[in-house]
Amino acid sequence: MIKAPFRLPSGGMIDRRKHIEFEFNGKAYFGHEGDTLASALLANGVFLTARSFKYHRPRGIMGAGVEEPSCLVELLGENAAGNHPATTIRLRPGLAAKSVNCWPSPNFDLLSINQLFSRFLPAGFYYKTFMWPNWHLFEPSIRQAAGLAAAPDEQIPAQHYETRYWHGDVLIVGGGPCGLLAALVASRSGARVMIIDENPHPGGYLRASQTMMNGKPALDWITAIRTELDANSEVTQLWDSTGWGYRENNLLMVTERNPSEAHVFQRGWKARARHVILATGAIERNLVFTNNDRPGIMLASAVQRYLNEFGVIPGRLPIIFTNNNSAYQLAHELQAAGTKVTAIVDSRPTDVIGSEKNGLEIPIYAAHQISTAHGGKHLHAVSIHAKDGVTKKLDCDLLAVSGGWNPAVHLFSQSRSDLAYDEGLASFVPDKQAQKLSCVGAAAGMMNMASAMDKTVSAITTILGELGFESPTFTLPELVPSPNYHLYPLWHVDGMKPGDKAFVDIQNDVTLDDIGLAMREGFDTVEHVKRYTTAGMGIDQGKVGNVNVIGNIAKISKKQPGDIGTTTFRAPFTPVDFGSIAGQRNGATVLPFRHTPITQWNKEQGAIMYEAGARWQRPGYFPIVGGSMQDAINTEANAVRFGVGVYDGSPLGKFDISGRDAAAFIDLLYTNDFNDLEIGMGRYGIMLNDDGMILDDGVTFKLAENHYLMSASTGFADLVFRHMEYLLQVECPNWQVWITPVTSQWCNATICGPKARDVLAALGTSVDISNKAFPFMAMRDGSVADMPARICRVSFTGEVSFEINVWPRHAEALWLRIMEAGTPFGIVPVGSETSHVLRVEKGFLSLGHEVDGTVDPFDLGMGWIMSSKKSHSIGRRSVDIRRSSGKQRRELIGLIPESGGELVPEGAPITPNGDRIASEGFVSACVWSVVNKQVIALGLLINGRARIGETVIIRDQERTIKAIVTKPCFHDPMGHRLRG
Amino acid sequence: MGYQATIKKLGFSAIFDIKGDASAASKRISHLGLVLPSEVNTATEKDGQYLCWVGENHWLLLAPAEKENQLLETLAPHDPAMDCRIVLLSDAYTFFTVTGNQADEILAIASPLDIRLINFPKNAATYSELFGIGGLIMRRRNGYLIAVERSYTDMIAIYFEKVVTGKG
Amino acid sequence: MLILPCPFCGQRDESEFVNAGPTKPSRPDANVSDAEWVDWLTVPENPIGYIEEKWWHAKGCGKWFTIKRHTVTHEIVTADVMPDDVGKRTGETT
Repeated sequence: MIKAPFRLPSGGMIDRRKHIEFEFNGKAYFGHEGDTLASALLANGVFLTARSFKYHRPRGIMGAGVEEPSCLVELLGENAAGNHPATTIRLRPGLAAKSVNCWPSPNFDLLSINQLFSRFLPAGFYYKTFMWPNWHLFEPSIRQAAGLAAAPDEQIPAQHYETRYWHGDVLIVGGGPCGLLAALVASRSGARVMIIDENPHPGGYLRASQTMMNGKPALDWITAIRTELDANSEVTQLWDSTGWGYRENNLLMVTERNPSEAHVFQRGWKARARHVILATGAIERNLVFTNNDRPGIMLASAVQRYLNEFGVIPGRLPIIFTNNNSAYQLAHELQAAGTKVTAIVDSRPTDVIGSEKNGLEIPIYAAHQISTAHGGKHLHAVSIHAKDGVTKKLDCDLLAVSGGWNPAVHLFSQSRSDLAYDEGLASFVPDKQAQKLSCVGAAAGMMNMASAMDKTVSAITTILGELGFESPTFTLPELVPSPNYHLYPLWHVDGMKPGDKAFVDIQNDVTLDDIGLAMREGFDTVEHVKRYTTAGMGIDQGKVGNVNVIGNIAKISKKQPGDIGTTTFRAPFTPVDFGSIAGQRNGATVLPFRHTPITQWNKEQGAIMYEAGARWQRPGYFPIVGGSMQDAINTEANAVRFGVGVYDGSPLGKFDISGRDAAAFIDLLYTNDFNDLEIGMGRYGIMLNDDGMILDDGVTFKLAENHYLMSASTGFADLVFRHMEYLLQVECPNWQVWITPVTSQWCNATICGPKARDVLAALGTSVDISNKAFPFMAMRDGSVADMPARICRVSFTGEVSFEINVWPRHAEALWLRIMEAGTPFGIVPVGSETSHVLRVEKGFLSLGHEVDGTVDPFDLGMGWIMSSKKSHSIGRRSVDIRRSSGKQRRELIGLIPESGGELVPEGAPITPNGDRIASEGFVSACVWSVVNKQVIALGLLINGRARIGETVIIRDQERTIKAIVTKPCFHDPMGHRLRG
Repeated sequence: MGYQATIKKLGFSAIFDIKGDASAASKRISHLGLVLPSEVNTATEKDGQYLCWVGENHWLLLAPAEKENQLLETLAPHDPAMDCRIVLLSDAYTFFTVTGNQADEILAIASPLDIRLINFPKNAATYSELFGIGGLIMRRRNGYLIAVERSYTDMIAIYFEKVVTGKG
Repeated sequence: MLILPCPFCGQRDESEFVNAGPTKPSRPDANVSDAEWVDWLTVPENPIGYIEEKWWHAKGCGKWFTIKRHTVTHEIVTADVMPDDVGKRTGETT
């Protein structure tokens, strides 16, 4: 094993006894338990790790956590996932990753030729290029070049995702000093608490720095808190977890990446608390100078974290470039670690540099700036200049930059709360809360740890009081006093020339030039600049660069950053696996589905099953050996027309409706009269919405006075129930009507065809089934095959039909008896494709085909169903108003297409002369008719009823099909057969 | 691997849907020794029969299967009496029990309902969401009783299997 | 995802409910003019601010109820409550 050249001999929080082998871009390396992919790469001296998005410039690792803009990797194998920052990936045995955005490798990237053409790829390039009609010429090659990681092709069996809910009192996002303190205090009060942190271990800045608490390393303080929280069953600690979305009513979307349950790969939490505390810390900004993206240039906070958490100093000759005093802490710690810092370049004047420099044996270039970085695939020097223009070149292989700190207000802003610009911080801070939440610590703009912790205590005390908990006792840790944070904003260095590659947004390759160009072209608000340049988009969402973008817009437009404002902070805060959102809703359960007691039998018969409304899985058709789908449908349809068939009608919606005002209620719902309906009889009815369009159709039986059994279309039963409950609860609260959905209390097998009565007789029934005793539209209670049953004579096929309703406990037995008793009569099971054929032959309506929310009964030639005695039924008024306008409307017609036996696609438009102009109608259904032995169709056509006999033209994309307009019924128009 | 929870699909129970006036409902079921629950979304119990108050004028009566015939007669569900309506729904639901040390974890995955005792007490019974569909949830001594519309039985069984075993 | 105050069940997750849009004025009499009818039918309120709207506790108790909600902040200022004699509810949270 080769020693990692940039790993210090001691220090860090890694487990040096545990070696982990991993692979990056096809090469094997070693790291330690506790490493991230990024820290292990840096320890091994792998600095060139990526190519940039647009120009394919060489890039390295810039950050140490979620802020990383530069090094995105794709994980391979068992952990396959795309587009994760290398800084957020825990090293684990067998980890294999590759850089995104470069081919074949970051060291030899064929696409880096884009750099030479970069003047042709300015801001707005995509908008200017991808324009009709020729965009498709460019699109494939640009897409390949700009591609991010590939998504895994298939589900990985080892990756079991889960989503779950959490309800509690206090939810704390961020496990730094203030977050941990808040959790400790809240947990002692007895509240139900959740605390989450992005990193595998809590501590935040305490782990990234050499902070002392109570005279001991801060890790001791963290350990004590964790021990206490571990023992409290009301506390949920989620480490290596991201709170990535802040929704309404304090709902936090959280992805837990490494749950303690071994069987869960990732878990999505929907966590809701009475109060949310955001202790999300702050993220360091970049500085804008020429070639500020070279590998070897890193955020100062990242270098500090690599040193303290991972025992890595990713360079031999470090220089620090800053506009504030926070980066001096890094200088102190590097010096203590025995690494000589070449220089500190501080853009602030000497007189404001205070106690932070005490004890440093390092040259400090005050009032100096770095104008450019030198080196291609790795940094080797920087040029610095003083205010007076004197320049100097300094050798270095590591540049730690600090442009100041931005409070991590992403979640705060997602909660719809307002931000305000803080001049002292030169950044945006939380202002007015829109929900029950508080910000503490650096997230609230409090950069001094001691006072931030003090304020955290008063905040949590108030919150606990409001929630009704008593505040517990505790002691604040003692901290070594530190200087107050101080910075002078530096949005870009002085002396920039056009064409200098100084990146404001590293991830999206947006330069200072691009911002200027966008504004010159008139895209001068922050939202426009974002969209035109893509600054702040992508995976890092501008964590490092956004405030620099705003600062530079302000500078160019000579305004204050506070006047520019921010763009919208969007979820997710960091990349999230879709699996952690979908959870257990995948594979077999990706969509809900419903079965009847006959589903299993259908499957055993080899039926092709698919959804037929309201999530019900139904047999589409029953394939026949050596035959096509059409052959199978023809066989089934012929059986019903000339012999006997049976289908499972269980999914039909059914409602038991009763109560003193039930009859009046039925009368209100339907457009036709029901008050003369006799007990034991049913009637077809249509119900409308208030807009006069058809809501549903179906048959309602009268079981007794003020007691009805209503059926509704399978796909519309829920909507009908909602409609009825709305009327009863909101509009007619004093009516006494009770509705019980009984769809699942009754199954039915419907025997249909000329021999249906014979089959029913063979089954044995207590009911007199002669046509005289049991006419069409009647229902009878009795027994069938010794089972209690309710038989209804309705017909959705146009043939004699007996709908045998039984309780589901008997459904399978009944079905098997029917198949047995029907065999001598040649009975076949019928799927939904055939039901469709049979109803089209008869011109029966289908919701979703002819009835699409824009038609009323007159359009369908059913004016007779609009009772002249009723003006009060729902929707009637609207129909009357529409009719009175006299405008031509689309009307239901039949069509006989001259398509040479081919079916016409449903939905195909009918246009005048077949021209490519506005349609005058469309084909709603088209089938092969077994009784007519030709293709027939239904459709809606402007003024259709007056045009019967005309020839119209259907457009099917490039071809046209002539069709003769007919009445919308192709079989037994007088209905003799179904009454037989 | 997986959670310490057991999912059991139960056999048939007698179920009656009761809608209407509280006093009428109370009278209709009084011979069963049951009283109406005094708190919404809770159940009363007598001899293995449960009466759940699940909606404003809506109760569910659950009873052992063998009582169904007798209840059909005494409750007369086919008689639409004027102030209360009782409808047989025994076939409309499938019951599952979720028991074991980690039954709470399974519920937190299945449902957005806040099942903390303060919110969902020992005698709680309510309609809520379960794996995206509506369902009845009742607290039991060592877990939960779940009822879903029968047509969803297979789907819910797959969900439970997936979640408990951690496979798929 | 909102938390909604069902008058019967108390605070529940939005996914249990169906939103039915702004509350309509009560159904007009038969003798209103066509224009008034069309207005009632087709012109819902759509303010930036508080709106009275209807929700249905579809996966819960089936109650239709009205709340007044701010369309930007989602603050709910009033909501239907059950009459006192209907029954008590167990402990409330969030």
